[in-house]
Order: sequence, then C-alpha cells, then structure tokens
Amino acid sequence: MGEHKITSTGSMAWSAEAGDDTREMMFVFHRGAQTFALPPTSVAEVLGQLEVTPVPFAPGWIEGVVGVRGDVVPVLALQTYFGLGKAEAVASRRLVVIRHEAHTLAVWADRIVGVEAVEVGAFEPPLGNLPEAMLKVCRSHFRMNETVVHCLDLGLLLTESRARVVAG
Amino acid sequence: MRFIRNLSLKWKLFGSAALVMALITLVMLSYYPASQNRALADGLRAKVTAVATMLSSSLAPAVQFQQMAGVEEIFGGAAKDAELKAVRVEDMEGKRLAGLKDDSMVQVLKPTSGETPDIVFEEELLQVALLIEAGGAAVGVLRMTYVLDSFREQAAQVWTMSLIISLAIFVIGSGMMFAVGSRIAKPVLRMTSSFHHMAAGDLKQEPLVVTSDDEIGTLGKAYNDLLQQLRSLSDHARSISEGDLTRSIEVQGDLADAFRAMAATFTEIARRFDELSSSLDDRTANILTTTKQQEAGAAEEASTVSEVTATMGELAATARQIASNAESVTHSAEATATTVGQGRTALSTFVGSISDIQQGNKVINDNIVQLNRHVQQIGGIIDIINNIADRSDLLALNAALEGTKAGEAGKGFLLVAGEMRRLAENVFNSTAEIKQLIGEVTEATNATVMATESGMKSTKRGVELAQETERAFERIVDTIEQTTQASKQISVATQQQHTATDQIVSAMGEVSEVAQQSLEGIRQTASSVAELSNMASQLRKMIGRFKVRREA
Repeated sequence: MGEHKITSTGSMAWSAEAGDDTREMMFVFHRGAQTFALPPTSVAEVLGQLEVTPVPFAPGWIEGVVGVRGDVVPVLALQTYFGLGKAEAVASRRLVVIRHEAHTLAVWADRIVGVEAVEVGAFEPPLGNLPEAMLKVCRSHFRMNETVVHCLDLGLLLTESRARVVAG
Repeated sequence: MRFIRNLSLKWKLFGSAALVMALITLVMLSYYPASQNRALADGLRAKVTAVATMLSSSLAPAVQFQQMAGVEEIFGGAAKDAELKAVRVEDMEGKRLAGLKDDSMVQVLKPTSGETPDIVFEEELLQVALLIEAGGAAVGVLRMTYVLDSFREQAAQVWTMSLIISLAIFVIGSGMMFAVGSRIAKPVLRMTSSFHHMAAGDLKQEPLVVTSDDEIGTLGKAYNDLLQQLRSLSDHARSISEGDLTRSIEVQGDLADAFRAMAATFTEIARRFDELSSSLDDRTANILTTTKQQEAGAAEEASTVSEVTATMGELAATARQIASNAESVTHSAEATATTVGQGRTALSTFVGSISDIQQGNKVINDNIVQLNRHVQQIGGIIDIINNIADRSDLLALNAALEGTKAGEAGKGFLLVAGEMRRLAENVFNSTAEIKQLIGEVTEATNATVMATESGMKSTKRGVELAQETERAFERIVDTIEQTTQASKQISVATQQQHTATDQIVSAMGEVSEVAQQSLEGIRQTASSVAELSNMASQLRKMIGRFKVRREA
C-alpha cells in the first residue's frame, strides 16, 4: 500500500483544497483501539456527556437510548457490536449522532479527530482480518499517520443492526 | 655287667637267643656226627660179618682138604666189592692157602671165633679175621682187609651237614628272636620316648595306637590314660592361669584332688580380692569426690580472696580518685554557680526573642490561609473556563460539520470552526497547566501552614522550656551549694577510707597466700587419691579376669 497524502483539517486546519474532486471529506473519531471514519453528511451532530437510559431485553450491543432534541435515539456500542470486546468509558467522550435517511443512531467516540480531507486514491478495500460483523459494514480503509482508519457504510450499519435486532 | 645292663631290650633278647642257639649248635655238633659214625660203622661191621661168614662157610671144605682149586669162583662175588682191598686164606699155622687182590697187606690178627669175625678199625683200613671151621674144628683162618675211604668220606659229609644245619638253626633262631625282640621292644621304646617327652612337660604328643590286649597293649592303654589325665589337668591349670576358676575337674585321683583344692583356694582368694578391691575402689572414689569438692572449694576460696584483694585494691584506688574528684567537684561547682548566673540572664533574653517569633509566625499563618482560600477560588474559575472551552469545542465541531454539509458555501465557516477548536484545545492545555500549578501551590501552602503551626507550637514549647530552664537554674544553684559542701565531706571520708582499704589489702594478701598453700595441699592429696583410685581400678580389672562361681 502506497503513501497517500491526507490533509488533516479536523479542528486544527481546513485545507484550501477541501472542495476539489480529488479529495473526500471524512469525519474521523477514535473508539477503543480502533479509528473509524464516516461521511460528514451522515453525522447529525456531536454532543457531550449524556445520560443513557438502558432498554430492558435489548441486545448487549444496544447500550440504551438518549433523548436528542425530543427524539429517542438508540446508542450503539460499536466495540461490542463488532465483537471487539467492551470499551472503557472515557471522561471526555462525545456522543456522535448519525443519521441515514429516516434512521438515527448514536455512537460513543473517545476522541474526535475532526473532519479530514482524504485523497480519493488513499481508499483501499477493507482489511481481510477484521471480525465478520465489522467486515460486513466496512466500506474501505485508509491510513492516517500510520493509523488504520476503517470507513463505515452507514446504510449497511443501520440495515445490519436493525436486521440483528429483528432476528433477536 | 654294666654294659649288659645298658643294652636295649631287643639286644638283650637277641643275645639270650644267640646264646641258646649256640649251645644247641654245640650239642648237635658234638652228638650227631658221632652217632652217625657209629651207625656207619655198625652197618659196615654187619656187612663185613655177613661177607666173612658166607666166605668162611664156602671155603671150609676146600681148606679142610687143602684143595684150593676153584676158590676164585667162591671169591667171585666179593671180588666185585670196590672197598674190599684184599682177601687171604690161611691154615691154622698161618700158611697162605689162597688170596684175592693184594693180600700181602693183610695184617696178622688172631681170630677168636668161627662164628663172629674179629673186626679192627684202623686209620684207613678195616681188618677182619674169622676162623674157618669144619666139623666143629677150626681148619683155617679167613682174613680180609677193607679200605675205609668211602666210610671216612661219608663221615666227613655227615659232619659237614651237621655243621651247616647247626649254623642254619643258629642264624634262623637268632634272627627270629631278634625280630620278636624288636617287635616287643618297639612299643616299649615308643612309650619310653613318650614318657621322656611327658617328663619334659610335652603333652601335645599323640596317644599310642594300641592294637593288642597283651601286656604291651595294657601298658599302652595305661600310658594313654595317664596322658589324658595329665592333659585334662594341664587344661585346667591353663584355665586357672587365664582366670577361669569356674571349670570343674572331672578326673579323679590324688593329683586331681590337689588341683581341686588349689582351684578352691584360688577362687576364695579371688573372691576376697574382688571384695577388697571393690570396697577400696568405692572408698577411694568417695575420697576422690570429697577431695575434688574440697579442691573446687579451695580454688573458689583462693579465687574469691584474690578477687576481694583486687577489689580492695581497686577500692583504694577508687577512694583516691574520689577524693581527687571531690576536690575537682568543689571547684567545678563554684565555677558552675558563676556560669549559671550568666545563663539566667541569657535565658531571659532568649524568652523575649521566642515570644516575638511566635507572634510573627501567627501573622504568616493567617496570610497563608488567606492565600490558600484565593487559590481554591482560582481553581473554581478554571473549571468554569474549562467547561466553556469544552462547549466551544463541541460547537466548533458541529459548526465544522454544518460547514461541510453546506459545501463550498460553508468553507469559510469551516475554517472559523477549525480555529475555534484550536483555541478550545489551547484553553484546555492552559487550564490543565493552571490546574497543575494550583495543585502545587495548594500543596505548598498547606505544607507552609502545617510548618507554621508546627513552628508556633515549637516556639510556645520553647518559651515553656525556657521558663522551666530558668526555674531549673535556680534549683541548680541550690544544688551546687549543697554539692560543694558534700564534696568537701566526701574528700575527708575518702581519705579515711583509703587508709582502711590499704590495711585490708595487706591482710587479704596474707589470706590469699594461705589459701594458695591450702589449695596446693588439696591438689596433691587429690592427685594421690586419684593414683590410689587408679591402682584400685587396675586391681579390680586384674581380679576381674578370674571368673568364679557366685555363691547363692
């Protein structure tokens, strides 16, 4: 895999080339030992600490629900869902509210890197050694300062998670 | 005779047998040849008588009638006899009528009978003369001469044979007697040798092998019995010499009785010695124990006396030192009284200074407490700033997201949001540093407050101690005055003590010398008793070698 330039914008800077066609903007955040990326358009908003209400008889990877501006949004425990073990709660964590079509979901981020401009050529197919549940919803991956960033397909994630809920 | 007595038995038997055989030989040689000669002569005489009688009767008619023709035929048979040397026939006047062979050698022998010829044995010849009778009257004389060579030869052969037979009887008889004598003498010689060994004290020889019941066999059995008895007594004597007095003597006799008596006497002596040595051993052990106790006591006494002497010497030296020190104490007490007065003045000044320090510490402590309170307020403000920065970061992040969604139109908005996030992060870092500094300041002020409070307590305690020291100084002055008086009295008392201890040291020296002499005497006694105990032990050990039957 070759080296591809990634213009780190995030909270620090915004590249003048952010709008060109050779780059794609990605919302990057850390959770546990993994780093994930989502399209910024699918991120509704980022919130601070909120109290999560547990849902009885919900699967283990549904941590509970939160109230976001009048809506009840389920909180998905990404690590548990992907079979990567239970992630520890970090004091400075953020709740990322993501939306796809009419569905809304929230996931915890230990630290948010920001919105990054990634060269289109930097994207590569998902790594083959990922857990099955993660491989199903992982669209591609790229490297950022030697860190592997897994790009999640939000539509697949919502569809799969709903299918697992239905399947019980 | 002495030589004969010293000869051995077999030679004596052989000599006796040889003497008897010699006598028998002599008798045979003197009797047998003579009888044989007589028998030969009788035979010859009978033969000659028969021949003469036959010829006389045959010749009688011819001689009566003087008709001698044809007499050769009468002589015919006799003429063949080789021993017949000559035959001569004469008339009564001695005239030769006829003859045979060389009849000139026939000597004149006057016949006396016509029936029995007269026969005369000469050296080598036999002369025969017989009257020839016819009709009851003597008509002539018949003379014959025989040669005795054959007769003499036969006689000599008889003599030689007799001699040979006699010698053979002598040799064989003597040899048989020598063999018999040797057979009889051999066990006797063996017993003689054994008796010699026995007499020399050698009882290790083998018993004799007895194969007969005759006198020699009986003698051998008696010898074996004697050897067995002597061996048994020798074994008992050896057991006694090795100390075993428990063995019983099975053999009988005067010698065995004497041995039994000797063993009984030895047993009694051993028992008595054992009792005496045991008693002696016990008593010497008791004496030794007592002597060792005395020795230990005397040594302890000598040691104690030495220690007391040394202690008294040290006491005298100490008394001298005390007297000297008492004078020094007097001088020191006076100097101390002066110094204590100066100390009391300095102490008053010190108490004033301590009070000033205490007041200053109180002001510092109040200020530090106030400072700490302000620092805590700063910490609260920092938390507020931090909260604001956190919310700003969230807002900037959401603004960036909205800017991204707005596309080209939100580009500027996105830049501003980025700057805001950077500022928020700077605020985060700064507030973190301020919080760290506040923590350090709080720790320092707390430590200062504690140190100040500790200092205040110390200064308060210092003031109390100074006041207490001042009171102590007053008591010291009183004590110094008492010490001065007491040290003067001690000086006088120790002088007197020094004199008394010198006298005691001298007396203890004499006592120590006497104790040493007593200790030396007891040690010599203990050594002698130990030797005596050792000798008693050796005596018991020696007596212990004798095993005796214990009386019930």
